[in-house]
Amino acid sequence: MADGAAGGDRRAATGEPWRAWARPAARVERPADAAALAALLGDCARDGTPLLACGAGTALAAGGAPEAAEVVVSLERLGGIVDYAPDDLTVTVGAGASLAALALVLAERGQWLPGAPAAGTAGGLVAAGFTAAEGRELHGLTRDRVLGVQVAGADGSLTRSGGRVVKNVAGYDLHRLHAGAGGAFGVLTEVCFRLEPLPERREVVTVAAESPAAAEAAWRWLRREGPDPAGLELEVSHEGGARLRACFLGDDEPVRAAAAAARAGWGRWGTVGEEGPEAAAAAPGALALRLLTAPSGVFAAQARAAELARSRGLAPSILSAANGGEVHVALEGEAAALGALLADVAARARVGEWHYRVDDQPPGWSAGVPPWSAEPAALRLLARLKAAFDPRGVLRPGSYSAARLASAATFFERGSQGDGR
Amino acid sequence: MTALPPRTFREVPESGPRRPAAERRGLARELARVVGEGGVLWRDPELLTYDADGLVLEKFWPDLVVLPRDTEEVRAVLRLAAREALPVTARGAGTGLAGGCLAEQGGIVLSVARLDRILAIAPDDRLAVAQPGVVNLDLTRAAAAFGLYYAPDPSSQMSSTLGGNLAANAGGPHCLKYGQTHRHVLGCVFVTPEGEAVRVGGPSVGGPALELLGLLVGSEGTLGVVTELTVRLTKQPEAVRTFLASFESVEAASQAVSDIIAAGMVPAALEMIDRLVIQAVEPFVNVGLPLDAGAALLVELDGPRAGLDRRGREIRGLCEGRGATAFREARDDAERALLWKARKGAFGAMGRITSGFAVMDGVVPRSRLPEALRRVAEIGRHYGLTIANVLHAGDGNLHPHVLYDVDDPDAAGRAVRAAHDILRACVELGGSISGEHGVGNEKRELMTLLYTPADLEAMARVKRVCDPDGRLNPDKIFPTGREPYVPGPAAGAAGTWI
Repeated sequence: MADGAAGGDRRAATGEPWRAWARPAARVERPADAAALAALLGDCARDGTPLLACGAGTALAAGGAPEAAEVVVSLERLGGIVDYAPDDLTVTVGAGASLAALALVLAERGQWLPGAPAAGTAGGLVAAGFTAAEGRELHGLTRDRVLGVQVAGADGSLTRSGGRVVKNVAGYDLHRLHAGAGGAFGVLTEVCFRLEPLPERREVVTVAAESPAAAEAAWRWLRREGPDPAGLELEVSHEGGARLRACFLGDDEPVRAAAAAARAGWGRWGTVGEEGPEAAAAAPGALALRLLTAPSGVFAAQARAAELARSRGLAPSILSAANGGEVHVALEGEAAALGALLADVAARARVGEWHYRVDDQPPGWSAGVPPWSAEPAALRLLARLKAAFDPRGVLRPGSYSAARLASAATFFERGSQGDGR
Repeated sequence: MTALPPRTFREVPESGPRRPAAERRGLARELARVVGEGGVLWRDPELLTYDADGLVLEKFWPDLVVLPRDTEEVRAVLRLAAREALPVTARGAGTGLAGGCLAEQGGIVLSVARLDRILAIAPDDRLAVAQPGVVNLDLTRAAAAFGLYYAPDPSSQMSSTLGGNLAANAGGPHCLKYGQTHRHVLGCVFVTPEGEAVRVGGPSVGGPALELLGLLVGSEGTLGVVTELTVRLTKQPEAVRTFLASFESVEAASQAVSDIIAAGMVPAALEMIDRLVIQAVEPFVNVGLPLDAGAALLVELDGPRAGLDRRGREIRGLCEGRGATAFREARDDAERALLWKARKGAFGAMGRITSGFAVMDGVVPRSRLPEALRRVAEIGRHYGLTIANVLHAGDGNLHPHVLYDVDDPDAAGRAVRAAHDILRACVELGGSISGEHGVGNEKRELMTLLYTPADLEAMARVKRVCDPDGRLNPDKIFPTGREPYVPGPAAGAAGTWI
């Protein structure tokens, strides 16, 4: 065990994001390095002590709330830049590295990490399966930018997969197993990312369409005849209109040309504007859901989500990554209404209308249905993988346990009566 | 068959199938009830084609070859294989270069040749749903009607299949900008060794259970048999610019590569060939490369037309800054094809300067390329072998071609030993033993250069969960503890696709 990490810490709850997701008496450990973290995990697994790894704590409930952790492992001391190779467009950082600080270092060399939000840590970004909207269409998902990782396992091991080169097909891509799994298969200690040069120019074009149908027409025009945006968001307003926001990134001339083309093309569907306010992120403590569908299915999914929410007396904020086939729904309200809404969403996943995932949720709230959907056979296989990587079930207790995965599989068997718990 | 495995060499097989003909005939009858009479091969001459892939140094006969047509048939084949405890090795077009689809323990080779239908193209969704036997380039051709294409472009793309590409996480010259196969597969259906179909991912870009999809891509058929893929299609670029420049040395060309990256450009392709390749290729492509040049660099830019001219001028300036002795821009598609011939024609040209060659696939951090090439040359001198280099320079991906004389009784063995030393050097420089060809059976013993026993145990855990009896494509990826295979005197030339 690391010096300074042993013995734990019982600091007051204020300002400590994990408090909402761990037992009140949870012990906080701050391992000094990856080896100490691995040893700690090995100890916890031996004792059957559930633990929760925590970066900045901004996405701990991604994929459903963790539960009953007795140990919180803070990654704050694993925050350094291990190796930055600007000539190779790669950077290797400790899992606890602040993304904001990293962005400053990269910017000095004219580079950036697409998909990274302004706040959070490198490990959290990967573990939560997050990709920021800016540049997402152009540069793809964060999981595909991960070149390699080092991981502490429940067996006390410290292992690597991938490497620091941009092409590598030797062995299984275990780093892509960990991406989005919330630390359920191991705790990331180090991540290597592929970087991109900073764009010369950035322009944003918006169109406030009068109706969802006009927004859809504007989207189809852009898709078929317009320039490809680097990022595209679609926001549904409470008044029934919708705003499309396209971000163009790249060299000066093509970005000017693309933005001009988008402004000209979109004019026929509504008022065209520039930058404008960014859509508000879901407030902490709200229920944030992601509905997954084909890109062209986003419009119908948005309408359905709005209708379901209203029928439960909820006023949703809806923001879609249209080109990615994702509808993000944020809701605040009574626990019972949120539970009923999630049950409605899950019921539609059971009949194949969409897939869904809880990205955030109110602390202490439980919906009574699985926090994310997948095909039953996939969930059963994930449950077996989870049991193999974490036989005592100590890593990220809660939504990603083998038992929960197996019962989610039962829930999503078509026509079954499972309750998903 | 939609595509026959390309072969540069065929010799009389050293062995036949393992199981007796009567047993094979009985299994074939039962399998024919699942896949039809035309879907099972079990007689010796029929099996001959399936004893190797593009790496023809080692050969292993399957006992049966089965060609199912849909997921249900694949499930039935796998259930029968489970009952009979037979190994099952899925096979695409057999263009792999690492022995990734060798039936090393015999059993069933499951060919995807009849799983060759494009099931849907959704232009607004920019995706296609296809069976794994669809040839890579055929999907691009089908998508062209909508102004779209399938971005991964391994050099084998006119014959290799989507399923084989997924298994190998295939790359290609343009994956510098567009990424390897993993970035373009949104989802798939795969069948477990017990015969269960599992659907993961797609059609959204970030679909459900991507953890499993991420494991499956690049797993070389060792975790499941893919029967359907949902892949992303990419919009055809508005404009393309292609440049070819020659340099005094590979160092100078490598410096130009670094300068281009440092100028904030990620070209669609950044390919390099060295002096030997230039000397082999120039006489028959006549692209104007000086025969005394140390290296040539092919740079391709694509995207919106606006601004490409400016970037082209910058590239010219950067190349000339590193002493480029010839700089040529393609004026039209025909000339572009000609410039690419200098790169893609390297393999055909090899046949003119050598009777045999082994193609390697190593990776180093891009900035270490000059050092890696110096080490490659030293290794060649040590073994008394000539080594020609083709490189995806932008990715740091080297393809040294170790040339040898097939009439020299121990040359093939020396070539393989040299190849292993090259991969060892790549790892020492911070790289990997494979950038795009995969591990297969060729490099499994070299995995220990890259990974600790604990790393390999984490991978083995996945294998044990997905394939508890170890029947899916056995003996691949994981080290067996045996000495790496080094061919004896009779071995043939290696394959042609890189």
